[in-house]
Amino acid sequence: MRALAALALLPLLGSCGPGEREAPSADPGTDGSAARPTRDVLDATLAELGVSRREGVLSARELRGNRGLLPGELDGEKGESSPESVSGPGASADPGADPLDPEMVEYRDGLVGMVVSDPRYLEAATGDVVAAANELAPALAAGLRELDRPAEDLKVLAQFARSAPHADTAAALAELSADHDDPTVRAFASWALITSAELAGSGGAVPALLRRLKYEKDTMALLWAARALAAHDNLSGLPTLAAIAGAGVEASGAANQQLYEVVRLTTGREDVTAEDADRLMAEWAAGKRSRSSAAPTSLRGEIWRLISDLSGEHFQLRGVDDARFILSRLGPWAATELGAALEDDDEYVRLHAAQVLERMGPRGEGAAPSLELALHDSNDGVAGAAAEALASVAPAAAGAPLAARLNEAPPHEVRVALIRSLGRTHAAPVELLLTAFEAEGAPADLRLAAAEGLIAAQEEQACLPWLASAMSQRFGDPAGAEALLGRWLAGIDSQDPELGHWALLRPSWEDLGPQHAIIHTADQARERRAGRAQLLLNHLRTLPGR
Amino acid sequence: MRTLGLRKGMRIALGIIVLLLASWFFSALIGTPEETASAQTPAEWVSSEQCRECHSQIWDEWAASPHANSWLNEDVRVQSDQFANKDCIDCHAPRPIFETGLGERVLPRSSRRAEGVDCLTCHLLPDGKMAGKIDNPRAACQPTTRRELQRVEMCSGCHDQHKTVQQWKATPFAEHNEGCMECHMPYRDGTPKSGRFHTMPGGHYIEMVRSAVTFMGERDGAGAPSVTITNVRGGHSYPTDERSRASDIWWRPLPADADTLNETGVAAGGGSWRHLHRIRDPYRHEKDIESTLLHFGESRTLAIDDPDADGGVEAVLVYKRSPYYRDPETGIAREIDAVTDPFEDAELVHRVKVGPR
Repeated sequence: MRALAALALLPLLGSCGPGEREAPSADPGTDGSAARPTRDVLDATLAELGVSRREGVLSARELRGNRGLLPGELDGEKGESSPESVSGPGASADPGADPLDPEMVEYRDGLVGMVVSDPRYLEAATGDVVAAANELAPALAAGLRELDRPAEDLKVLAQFARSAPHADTAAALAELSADHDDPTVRAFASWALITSAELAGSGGAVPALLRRLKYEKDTMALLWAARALAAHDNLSGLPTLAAIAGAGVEASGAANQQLYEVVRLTTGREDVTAEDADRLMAEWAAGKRSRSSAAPTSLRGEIWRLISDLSGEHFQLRGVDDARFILSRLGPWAATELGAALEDDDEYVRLHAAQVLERMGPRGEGAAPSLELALHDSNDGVAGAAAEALASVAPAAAGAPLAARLNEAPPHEVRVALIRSLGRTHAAPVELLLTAFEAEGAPADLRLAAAEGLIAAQEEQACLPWLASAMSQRFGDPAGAEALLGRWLAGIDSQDPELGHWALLRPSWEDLGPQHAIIHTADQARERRAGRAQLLLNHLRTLPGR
Repeated sequence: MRTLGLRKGMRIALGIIVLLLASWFFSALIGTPEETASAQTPAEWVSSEQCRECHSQIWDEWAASPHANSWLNEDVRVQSDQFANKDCIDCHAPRPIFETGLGERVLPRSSRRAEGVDCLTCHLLPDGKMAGKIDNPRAACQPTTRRELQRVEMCSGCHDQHKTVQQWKATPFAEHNEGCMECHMPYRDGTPKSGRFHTMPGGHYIEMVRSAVTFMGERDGAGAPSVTITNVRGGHSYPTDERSRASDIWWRPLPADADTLNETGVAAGGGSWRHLHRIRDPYRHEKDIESTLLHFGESRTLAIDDPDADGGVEAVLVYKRSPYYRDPETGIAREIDAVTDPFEDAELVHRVKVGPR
């Protein structure tokens, strides 16, 4: 484990830049002490970056400490960042930072005041900002963090920061894009972050922008967050741009324009079409379009901080949810780190790291060897999550290791996950799935997991009657059976000579479902499932040989 | 010598009989018929169905509870896109609490998810035995005394994610050590010997919601109408559980002749409802919404400042289990201003009438 920690540190500590240090030798751990790769690397990284570690909003320790806090009291009392606040490099107040140069503060405010009073001065003022970029950056960053400034001031500051990109202002813009109440200011901040992609070692703003994809509700602010991500070679926001472009809202035109701009810049072609945009999004999802080099130091620090957010030391799930969301959209940048995290001593970190890799899909392929090892994790939950992740990141190669693990008679929970995962690989071993499905006394969860694979392998005839009847059972997983059958019916090609007849059932299936804006009660849901089960069973009876 | 041998044999036989009787006596004393049933310890715990054979009453109670429905609940399935959003699995199909640790965050499990928060979630110990009231190694599930089962930390892994336990800690109930169980898992006949109900009623049981708050209406000396809601018995804020719960107050002018109640429990033939107040905690991204949760002991008076209220007024407090406020991803988002029927997806908690000025 210590070796792992040291290995993880190697690329980080050996990187060029201020404060460059010699990497420690990779000493295979011999002292038997418990190692925490996440914590070790995190602390080392943060120390190098000069920022402090974030504590959970409410830890289990505090919970046990019987603190009588009410919602709303927590933030103020603990001085903790809100779940949405940005924590990227440079985001935390650094008590050791040099005081601002009063002359630069005065100069900044003079320029801002001039532009606010007359926008025609913008070009001239921007020229001055560019000329004094490095000297002025700390003052600009501090100004961007003064959230009680007038919105117009902040927009001008964002424009200045855009014209003279700097690491300090990039971190401040990332905070502003999340924290300001005015959506136009948030939009300006994201827009201004586009140029920070030109900075050497840029990328520290990416997690903050990804968090906006999750939380931003203003379409214009969302649009610019997605666009700034693309500037940083992260195309996670393209589906968002496409959705806004097609939504027929005020921001649709701008979203459409920016979407094509990204496609043009990424493909290097001028004449791009909607199909090019779709192809680009598909390639990104498949891991074929992203930065292949290792993450820059600034981003790697944030990756480890996000991985530490997965830890069981944090009680509240919202931080975990955010970390899962962001890490899974970082692309191959985080696969190496997540692979290392699969060996952390904290089972929470291991399990959630596997979940994140599952969500990354082929973009996480680099972690496949670590996932194979994790199939034997002592925690059944981690082993199960690793199985599902392996099938997701390397569907073509996962079959053999999954089947091998299945042959070792693992615990039930792992067995279910292995069967479910095998069904999601590209070449599901039908015999294994059938054996699991038909085993006498097999629990419903195991049969449902096998059924999913059988349907994917087009062996639906083996499990359709059981699935249909499972839908009308009170116990087992009637909702899971219904969801699986619903997906299967929706995906059938009506022209398919063998299965096309099932597509004819789709209207009746939908008619039995809830109408728009209605959610069924438990009784209505049971009735719906019974009706749908009957629909399928009736159709099965009409088929030849039944 | 022969006589001696016979006596010795008789003594041995007698000893065996005494041992058997003692064994029977103690098993009758310690083990209930359920616990000494013919069931054998399973090689592996794979489903809470395995608990049903011996604990049918408890199992039936649980099976009818929201905990058993946590995976099948339609609201949850819609909001989680059939659990494609896997973040929801952590609490809706959690791993055994004694494995992850009391008071710790829960972790999701890969199997028996459809059983939701099941028997094994709360009772399965890391060594394969079951946490229970008593030690009984002879029972199939080998229960082991674990008093922690009574503690709020059993519930907090999931229910304090939205600070319900923190809210409780700010009430006198905490000072008197009256935890979650006192209201949500009461004794069947009021005494420990009968065991606790496993239906675990909460926000899904409207009677329980009704008992938590009072709702009154009046006119002040100048004749201005108002309604007052007070959290009198909720052991935590009303409602609790961020986003998933809300409570609304609506009012409308009441015609003088509207004496009969319809099936919802409000005046038949009344006019249009007007929204007065929403009680809920904002979701994490809703920065423009203030939390209006009603903490324990808090009383809130809301004036009905409208000329139409000069005549009679009918006001209702309704309880919503899924506010769906600004959630476009569900496809059913609606601003509260667009809602006209208070009972469309909410239940009546209390109704009051305020006479004409």
